Amino acid sequence: MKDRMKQEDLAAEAMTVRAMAQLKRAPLTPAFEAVLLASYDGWQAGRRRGGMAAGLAAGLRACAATVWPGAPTWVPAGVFAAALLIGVGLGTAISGPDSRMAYFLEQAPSFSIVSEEDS
Amino acid sequence: MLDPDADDVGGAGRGDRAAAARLIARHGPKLLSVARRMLGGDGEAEDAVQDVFLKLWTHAARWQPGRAKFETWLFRVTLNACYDRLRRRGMAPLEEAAETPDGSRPADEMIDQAALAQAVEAALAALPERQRAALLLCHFQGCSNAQAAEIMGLSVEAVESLLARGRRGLKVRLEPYRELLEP
Repeated sequence: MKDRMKQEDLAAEAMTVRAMAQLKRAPLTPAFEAVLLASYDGWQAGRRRGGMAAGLAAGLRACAATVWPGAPTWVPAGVFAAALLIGVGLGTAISGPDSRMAYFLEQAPSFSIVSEEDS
Repeated sequence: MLDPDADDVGGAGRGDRAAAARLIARHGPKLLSVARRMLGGDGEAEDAVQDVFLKLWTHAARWQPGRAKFETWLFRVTLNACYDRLRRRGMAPLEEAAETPDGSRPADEMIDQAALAQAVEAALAALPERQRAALLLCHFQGCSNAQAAEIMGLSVEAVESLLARGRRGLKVRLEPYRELLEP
């Protein structure tokens, strides 16, 4: 019984070898090869963009660590943004249109450095 | 043992386009042949192979030679991509959808090589997916049982069992073509 099963397995193996030899190995079409190479180019381009973004983020992190060592990046960034908002807000509120000072190079200065005593 | 792909994988990871092209030329046809037989169609097989190569590019940059043979990893990713697609297909498994050879077909009928190849393709497609994968790896790609076991994430004994059942299944399905397949 065991021998018969072994015989059958051997016959099946021999038939499988011959059957699988019938299968064709088709080469890649040039179009599909181009698609695969394009996927490589796309990945490379994405990596370069990712690399620049990562570099910028690392620079910002280093800057934040210098300003506020040990704190997460958002803390100095948030304080800077708040200070900027307060500054702009105060500047807008305090200075009205009349208080603006303008200097024109083509006009004669309205002041003199010569003292009245000298003249 | 030095992995024959190590240089090209490293090169592709560093941005060497020629190395990437060599990897495509060397492995693309093998992967496509397996995917085509696992999925039973050209379009889906090409999509699966494209997924595999995308994984390869991202993996290439972090590839460490010596941990696993690159080709083994590549076949494993390909088989997993095929299993995923077969699972997603779900409702119509290939085993049922595939055209199986008609058992009543007389063996002495004149059948040319192309028709025989088609019958083998159909018989293979009718096998359960893991048996099909084991047969493709060992009898088509020339992998050893141990290598197939590593690719499939199984023990060598489990692969041998899959192979034995696959061979028997193939033999039954190809019985009408027995005379043509005899030496």
